[in-house]
Amino acid sequence: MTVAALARAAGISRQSLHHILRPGYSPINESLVSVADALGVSALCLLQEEDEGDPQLEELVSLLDAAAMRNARAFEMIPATLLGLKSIAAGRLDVPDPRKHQLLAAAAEVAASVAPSSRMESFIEHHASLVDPGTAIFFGAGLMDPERIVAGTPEPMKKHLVFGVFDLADFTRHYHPC
Amino acid sequence: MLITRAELKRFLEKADRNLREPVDFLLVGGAAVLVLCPQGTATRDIDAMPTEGLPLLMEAIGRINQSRRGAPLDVNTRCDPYEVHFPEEWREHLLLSMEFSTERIRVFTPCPEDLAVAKIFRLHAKDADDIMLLSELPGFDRKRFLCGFIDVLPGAIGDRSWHVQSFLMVHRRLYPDIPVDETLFHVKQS
Repeated sequence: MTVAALARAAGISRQSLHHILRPGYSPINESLVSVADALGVSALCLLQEEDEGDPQLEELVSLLDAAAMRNARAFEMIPATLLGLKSIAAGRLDVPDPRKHQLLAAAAEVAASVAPSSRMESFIEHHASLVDPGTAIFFGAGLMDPERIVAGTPEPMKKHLVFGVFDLADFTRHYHPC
Repeated sequence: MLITRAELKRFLEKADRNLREPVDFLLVGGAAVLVLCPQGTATRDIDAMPTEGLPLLMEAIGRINQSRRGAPLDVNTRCDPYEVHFPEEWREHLLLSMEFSTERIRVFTPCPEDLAVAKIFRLHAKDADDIMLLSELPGFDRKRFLCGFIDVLPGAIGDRSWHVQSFLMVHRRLYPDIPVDETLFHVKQS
């Protein structure tokens, strides 16, 4: 690619491009360095690209939104999504709604019963601590008797007062470990 | 990841363009509910009954899965066991639920009442969601639902008294004004 073509593609003049390509050019100006110094961070930190988002995390958030609207099918997929999540290392997910923390704790408990890990244990502990105590969530309550729902709920979900008739196989069929 | 009706339709449109011969796609389970109820969602592993041209469609879907980014569509074609929980004449009630401009793929589903009957026999939380959606479709016929259940019950897998309890529980919620005794009478007669 010629300098002229590159300049056209970048939408800048050839002169500007020559300036950028000159040895010793730095995109970090003095003002930026002053701001970075005041913040106690490197000037490069302020130039980092905007986070493009983690597709797995976005998927989890959309499933959680649907589960909070009592979509049982969405809840069924959360444990496998949690197990496949790479960026969960911090052991938490910031959501504003206590019900979502409750759903996450229950789903993580199911996930831990499928594939035990200390990472999932700390995730459960964090989200369980943010739940409104005494609040129960029921899936299928439109048509099914609460007693029957409780009886058909897998034990890991019961611990967090999230109830719904599910088979553990409903959860594991979405989990495909490498 | 969940799939919406519009997404499924876009996917099948692509498959339709990849096909040279006509194929009938017979959806059951949550995917059939999704096709009938626009507001529904399904998981991306959809259930289809075996039909003559299904292998051709599976090839086309495989090619699309490979060529596109994002979650694949996974078609489970081993759902013949579902058939025992559909009323005997369910194939005569099939609905042509989705067509495409080239008319190569025709998507069929069981009628809403037959789908609801099949879901009674498991009645997990997500089956309850589906029955609720199906019952809200215009023209959902209580009599066909009742007759369908009575037809399937004698040959159903599992505890029959449990299935009767499931049906009565659902019926009571869908039709609170109709006395349970009357419904139970018809079930017992069968």
